[in-house]
Amino acid sequence: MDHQQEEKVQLFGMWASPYVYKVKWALSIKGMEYEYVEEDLGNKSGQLLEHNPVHKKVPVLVYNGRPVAESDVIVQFIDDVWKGQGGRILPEDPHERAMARFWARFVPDKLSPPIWKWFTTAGGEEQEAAREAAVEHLRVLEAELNLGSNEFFGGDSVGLVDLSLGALAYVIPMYEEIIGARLITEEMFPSLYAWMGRFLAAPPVKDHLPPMEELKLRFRAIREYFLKNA
Amino acid sequence: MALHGLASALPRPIGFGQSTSLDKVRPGALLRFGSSRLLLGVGSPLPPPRIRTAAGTRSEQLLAAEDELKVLGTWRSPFALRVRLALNFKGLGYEYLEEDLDNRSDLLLQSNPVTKKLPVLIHNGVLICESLVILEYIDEKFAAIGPSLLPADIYERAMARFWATYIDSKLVAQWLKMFRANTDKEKAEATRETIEAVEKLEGLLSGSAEGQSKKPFFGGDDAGYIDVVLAGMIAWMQGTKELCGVELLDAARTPLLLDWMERFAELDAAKLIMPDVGNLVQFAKVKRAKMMNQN
Repeated sequence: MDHQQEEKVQLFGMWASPYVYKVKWALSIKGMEYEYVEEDLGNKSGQLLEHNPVHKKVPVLVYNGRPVAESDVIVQFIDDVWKGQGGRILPEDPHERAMARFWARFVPDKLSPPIWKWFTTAGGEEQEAAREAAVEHLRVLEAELNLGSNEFFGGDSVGLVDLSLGALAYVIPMYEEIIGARLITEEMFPSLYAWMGRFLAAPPVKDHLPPMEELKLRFRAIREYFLKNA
Repeated sequence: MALHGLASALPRPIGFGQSTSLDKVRPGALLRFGSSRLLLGVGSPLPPPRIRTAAGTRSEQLLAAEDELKVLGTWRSPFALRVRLALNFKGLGYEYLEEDLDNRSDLLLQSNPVTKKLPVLIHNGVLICESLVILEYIDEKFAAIGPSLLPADIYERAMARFWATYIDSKLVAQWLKMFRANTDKEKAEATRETIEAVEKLEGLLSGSAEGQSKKPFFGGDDAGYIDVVLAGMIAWMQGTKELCGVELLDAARTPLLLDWMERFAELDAAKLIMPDVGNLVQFAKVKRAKMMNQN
């Protein structure tokens, strides 16, 4: 079914937001064209506030004038709207879908908070505790998510779980460089480590990555800010 | 508005701190409501639950005789309640197993090694965790049985998912912060956020956001996904005045929510399993006191 004639797709985003990239990758999987609107989060546009009055955040996808907010909701919406076009983001089978959704929630609920804590805390006991918590959750991922002979968690192409983990593939190495300590080594997490490289090189991802040098500067400033205001 | 009557006539689910011993529950107690049979009880071997709908035997072919659904939860968990409501709405029979969190059953420990949390749905030995994930699973796996929880329209479905996420990340999370707050400042902030969330949900019912007319349920004329997701919190919201000294609900600010709560609790799928607000409040007070003493 050819949607493209009647459709208008806009994405409101911000260049550094990993959630915005998640949506970009999803749109890329479907091969969809869209209008991208960069938001200045210190001076949000009237359009953004109109489209996301509840959270006033990016990303927001506007499909034929109707806004969808929350990156996980947007990604599933994308998969539903363009079902049968491009790659599958969620599997077909209900149980596999449930597994994908479960692991997709694991990232923001369990994994990201200690990683962020580790990054925004000065060296010491507290930071070490955060690092250990992050490592524990990474171990769970490494063990439970059996890639087997698959390239991605979605199988032979990028799927929901890959998208959810996705930004960590470039964020973690950046944090490691800034802090001067490793979180993921090939030794400790062979499966995840290999996946990270493959993800960044995957077709829907490789041309849709944030500007790395700028992002690194931004992250450095963030860490400095947190250390100063601790 | 007090929830009582039917719920208190039932064998009381296991309360706090007691182990899940079989003699506390009338084994094999069966209740009938609407078009399905709900099994309340633990352990004793029983014939697999059957589905009866207006269509007669059609659904029995769709849900094979060997199909087995179990829910692990606690009577006070808003998340477990969602799962039971969803199954009831679909007219699916299941075995409900009350867990004692101080003495977790082997089944639970085996079922959810990752987050070790409740609820867990076990379908023919296959485990599903996380209430919203379970709800979507039920809706998709049993699409041919009973009404659908999520709307058919793709955009409406996205809206339903959005509000479910909102309920968890704003209402539930902030309510917990408000309840557990150690300082006045923390409490004030969390209270403000919780009230804001409640008011947004009131706004949803009024349909004012999209110029739609008022509807009896979040799902429209019939209860759906958002109703089930929020319903887990009904008793907690009703107990807020006593637990936190906060007037979350009142006739002036949240008339529609109050109506909705009453209407929802009357539904066949709900009326036998909604927890008693008094018991919930009592449980929460005891729990909070324990947590304070440990600090």
